[in-house]
Amino acid sequence: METIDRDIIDLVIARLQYLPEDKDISIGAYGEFTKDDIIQHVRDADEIGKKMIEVEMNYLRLMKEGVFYAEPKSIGDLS
Amino acid sequence: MPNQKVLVTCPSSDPTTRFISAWAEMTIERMKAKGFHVFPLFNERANRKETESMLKKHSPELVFLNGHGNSDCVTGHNQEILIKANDNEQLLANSITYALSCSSGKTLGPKAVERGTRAYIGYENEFIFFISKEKIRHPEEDKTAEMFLGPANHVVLSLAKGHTVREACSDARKYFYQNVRKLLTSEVSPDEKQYIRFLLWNMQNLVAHGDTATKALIIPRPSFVV
Repeated sequence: METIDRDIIDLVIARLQYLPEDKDISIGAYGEFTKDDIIQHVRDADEIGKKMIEVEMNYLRLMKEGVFYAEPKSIGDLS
Repeated sequence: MPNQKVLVTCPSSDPTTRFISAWAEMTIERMKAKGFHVFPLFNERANRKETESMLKKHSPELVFLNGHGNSDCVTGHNQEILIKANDNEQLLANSITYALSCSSGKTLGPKAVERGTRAYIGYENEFIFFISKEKIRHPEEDKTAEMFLGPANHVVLSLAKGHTVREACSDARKYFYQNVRKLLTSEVSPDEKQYIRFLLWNMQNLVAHGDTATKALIIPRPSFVV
């Protein structure tokens, strides 16, 4: 994920606007972030921002696959 | 009663490690109640020297590492490296190891298995969760963190029940998914629904390497006198 389409960044930011204000998000060794922090990282498309974009894209893909309608088969699988 | 030994590292040098260790502490109590010999390394004791010493001295059947990490290491208090690929991962030999940390399932896990670990359970990517700011002093009361750390700790509790590595991972994934389903109901606020993508992310990134049919709890067969 070298260069990220501006539309994708805007989409992810729009979705992150709904994150709760009174919670911090912990992203392992990157640390803990407020909603505003995390949105700024996405806007900057830095390493943390790219991770958030990856999470969001993964989620959209899972929704497309119907994750809410049936328990994913992958639950019992191990790589 | 089981006679298995369990080593648990519980660093507490920043909010993330404080939260995961508070939840690990509850898991420790439940393991003790089941009769496991638990060797916890809290706070500053979650360092490399003590971890290596405990692994060498006790050869625990189950190792539960809580901390930060990356693809090739898991850290302890103040992010000191405890176990690193191509360095000291052979110390995990013969154990089932579960790392509640970021990304160590990617490289350290397979490397540890190559060097004799029976099975290594970890996350292939960042483990992400939410913290309630008002619960920073009482992480164990944080219902939001519980949605994430409950399933994550369930791996160990499932192993303690005598389930295989495969079953323990599957149980934990189901627990993540159950929490997703709960968040889909109408009683949940739109804010809380935002956690769904992160629960699914953690669920998907939970992996196991090595012998997934192995168990941490070995119940001795009863001997009958004829």
